[in-house]
Amino acid sequence: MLPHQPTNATMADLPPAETSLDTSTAGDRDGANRLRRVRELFDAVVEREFGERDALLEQLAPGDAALHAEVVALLQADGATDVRLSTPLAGAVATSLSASLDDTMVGTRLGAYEVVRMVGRGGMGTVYEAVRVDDQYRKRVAIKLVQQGLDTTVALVRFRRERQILANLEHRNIATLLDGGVAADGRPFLVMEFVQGEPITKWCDARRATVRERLALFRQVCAAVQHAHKNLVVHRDIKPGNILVTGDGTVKLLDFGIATLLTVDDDPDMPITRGASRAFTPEYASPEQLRGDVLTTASDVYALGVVLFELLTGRRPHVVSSRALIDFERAVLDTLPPRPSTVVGDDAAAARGERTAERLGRRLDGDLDAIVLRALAMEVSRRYASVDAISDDLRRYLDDRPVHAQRDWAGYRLGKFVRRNGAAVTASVLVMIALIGGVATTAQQARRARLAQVQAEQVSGFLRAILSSVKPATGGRDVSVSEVLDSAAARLKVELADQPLARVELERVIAASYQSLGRYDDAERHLREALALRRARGREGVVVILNDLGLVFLGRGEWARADSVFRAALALRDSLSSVPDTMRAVLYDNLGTVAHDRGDLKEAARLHGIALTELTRLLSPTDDRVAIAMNNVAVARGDLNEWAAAESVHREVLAIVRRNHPEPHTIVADAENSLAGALDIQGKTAAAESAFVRTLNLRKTLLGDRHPDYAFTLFAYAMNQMDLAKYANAIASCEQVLAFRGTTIPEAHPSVASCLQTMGRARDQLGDTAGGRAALEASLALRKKYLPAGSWLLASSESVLGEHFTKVRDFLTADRYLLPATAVLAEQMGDASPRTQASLARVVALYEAWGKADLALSFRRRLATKN
Amino acid sequence: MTDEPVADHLVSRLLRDANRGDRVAIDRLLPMVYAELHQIAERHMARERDDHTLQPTALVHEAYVRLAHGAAFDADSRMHFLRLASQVMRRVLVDHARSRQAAKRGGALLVTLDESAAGHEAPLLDMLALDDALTRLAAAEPRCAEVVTLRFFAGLEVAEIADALGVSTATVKRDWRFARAWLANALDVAAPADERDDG
Repeated sequence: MLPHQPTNATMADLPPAETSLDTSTAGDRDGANRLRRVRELFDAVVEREFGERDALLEQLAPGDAALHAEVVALLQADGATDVRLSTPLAGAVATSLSASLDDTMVGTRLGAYEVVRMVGRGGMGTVYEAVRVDDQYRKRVAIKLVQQGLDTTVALVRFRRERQILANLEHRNIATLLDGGVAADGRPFLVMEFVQGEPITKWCDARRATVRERLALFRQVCAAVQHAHKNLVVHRDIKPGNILVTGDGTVKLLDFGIATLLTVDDDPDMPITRGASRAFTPEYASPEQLRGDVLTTASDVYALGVVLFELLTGRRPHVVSSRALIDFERAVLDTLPPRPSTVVGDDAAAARGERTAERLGRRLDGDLDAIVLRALAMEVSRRYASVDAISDDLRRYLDDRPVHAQRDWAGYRLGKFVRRNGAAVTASVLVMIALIGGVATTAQQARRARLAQVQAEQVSGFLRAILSSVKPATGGRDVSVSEVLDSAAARLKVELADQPLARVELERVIAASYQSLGRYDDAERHLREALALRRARGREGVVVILNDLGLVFLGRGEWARADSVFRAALALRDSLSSVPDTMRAVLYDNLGTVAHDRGDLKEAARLHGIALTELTRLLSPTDDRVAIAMNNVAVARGDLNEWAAAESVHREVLAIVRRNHPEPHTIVADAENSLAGALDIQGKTAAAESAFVRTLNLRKTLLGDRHPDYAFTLFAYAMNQMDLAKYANAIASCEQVLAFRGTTIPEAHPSVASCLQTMGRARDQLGDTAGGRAALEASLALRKKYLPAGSWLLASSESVLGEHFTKVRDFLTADRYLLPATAVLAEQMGDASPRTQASLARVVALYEAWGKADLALSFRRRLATKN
Repeated sequence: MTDEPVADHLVSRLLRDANRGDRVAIDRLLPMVYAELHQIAERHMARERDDHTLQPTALVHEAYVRLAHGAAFDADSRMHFLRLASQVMRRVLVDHARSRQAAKRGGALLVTLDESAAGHEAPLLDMLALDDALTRLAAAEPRCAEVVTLRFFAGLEVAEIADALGVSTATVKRDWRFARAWLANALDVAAPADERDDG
């Protein structure tokens, strides 16, 4: 170890001025005595006029010429000026502080590695080249030494755990994380594969790579990022400096997940440093990153868009003159990026093997413009849903096939055309019916309301894909879909006036779309239209509309109305035909769902059972619909605490649907999801974990990673990870779920607040108490906003927050949250309720930590009522 | 949340003990203080290039607030902190200077970081000579040396130094005046310009 390395030991050796004399020699002491004497004389004469000084000196120290000379020299120095001593060290302090530790590392050991030289430095830490000392080949590695220490055991545990996740990230285009540890001074370090290469932009320019060559290289980058995303690792700091290309043209991504690993949430007490400890590079930061919002894979998509822009044009989409964060925020949040084809110059063209800027511009114009701008969309919902999607579009471009980004654009143009041209509207709506019809029918057959909803959302997803850009400027996607629906509905009434039966079908389609948007009133209105039209032509086909209407009431939580509509439909059906059909089973099943949602679990099990029996008679025992009915029976039995029985049914269902659908299918995902839930609640957390992961993979493949079903499973998975003490995973999953808020999951949805709460508790567990508090407070704020005062959920939130403040030893605040919350819980649910008990346990923990033994004891007595 | 902060803050307690000369407390505090200073400076450097706006005063104060986690220390703790921080700053600058002197190493190949790694130029003063001079000064006039340390390395004003050391401002001014002249001589530089607070 170099002598100057400021480890704890040398830091402690700082000489408190008073103690320095202890080790001094006699000569030093003489020197010191003399200096004190000089000081006395200096003080005595310095205030005097020049003329008086010599005389006074002679008087105070007669005959000591050498001493006089010393004092006079000081008096002269006193009069002179030098800027170097007057404005102390401003720049030097900052420079030295930020660099000093790093320079001194060379030649020292970090774990099994010897530091050879420093190779780079940046916001998060310093990178060294090092060799493995205990390896005869002295393998070269890159070591990233983090700038700040991890000061708690928990933080270290978290660091190690996350490091393990990253170490498992194996991909030929990702620099492998080899090792890691903690230096003597507490700073963690990461050991990575040493990559000898150039940043992708420089590599391409140096070789005058053509646009096609650049795209091929970029797709390697996409493959690496996508691999990480599949493993739930987000890069968060993608930039050319982290994308190296080796001599043989292989792309290597560096620093995967490191930004996440090292980000420490800001202390909420210090708004001034907002964003300060977030590690990222503003030039490549997404809008949500600049805003300080929760980051997901979509942020990586954005950063990749910036890199692609730069690869194609030689410049970045936003030109910002300073490096101040505020300027980046302004540029990225307030202005739209230009089309790449419009910003290329002759230099950029030459570096890409094109003769003129115009030729390069023509090459980029169209597909590539569309692809880049789609990746750079300000709203996450308008961006590519995954990295694979960009890569896929680029492959399409390279294969001369139409790209999706353009198709979006085509839809936009079509939409505009439709708006201008009334006659075309009917045609396009009829096309919609043709395309949607099949799905809608399936939706009818789906037994469980939730499953029907999946299908309905596919309908509206389809609508969105085609029509979302009809009015792109108005913001929210739902708004524009609603508008499309509204205008389509209005026109249909007029234009299909003479085709009532076609209108009935369309009204149902539109109603289903409204329902999927949560616009139940509109759904009801259109269903009533359909009902009136149908009834005018007899009783045929009325049952199915009544069933639709019942589902609307079910969605609105109007159990009594839903119940009576389903029963009316059932009576009507039975009066029309004595032969059982699947519609009859569907109605029983929906009645079962009403009972279930009302909390009448036994009745639910009975009704679902009837539906199952009916279906088994009508259909093959391996029919999907039978499987779904079995699933619903099992769910009801599970809620009756017959979990073991439920589990075995869920396994049977899963086996059936897997056989029916060897390819990925939503119904398999649903079955996996049910099984995961049943396992989880029985405490079979590890088995549940793998079922959840299978569900997630399926849903991601089938529905994309921004579908509500994906989000809800992700949330269940987060809770599961909490139970397994995999806090980092729990946090990552919650972050992903929370990215949906305000889009696919309404802000008011209870899962948002629950998710924040889970995230807060997980952060607390990892020692990130600032982040924990922020999440818990956000959760409480949401519940306050959307729940009536006095709700037990509010109390539960406050209780958890109290637990947090106990943990950070802010006992007064903890007390203020915990006591009233516990009182509310006890009042509403009784002392014996598990929730009250949990809250009481928190109160006891608070008073014990606070040292108020008597209070702790009095609450412990109430705790004992359960035990 | 608006409640008074925890009465007996850990850092506050450590600072008190450190000021009494408790080595254990000092050993625990120094890395904490160092880490805060380092982090603030690093962040600052990462964001703004070529910048003279980061004054030692701001640096030290920010470190203080961060260490205190928003809780208000009592006045004594704050002073203890400032004394400690100025010492840490001194050590940092000296170590930096020594390591620069120790080796001139080869050009840097940027592996994972971007262009922001560009270096800054050497400090204006010969830090090693200053350190050496301060040590000699401290042997005879410890308070003088500390005045300099607080002024140079923590950027404190005369009144703050007086508070920190528990002496009058007149005493600080006298100490400063002598120290400045003595250092200028020892470092063979002309003495510094007069300060506005020093008639």
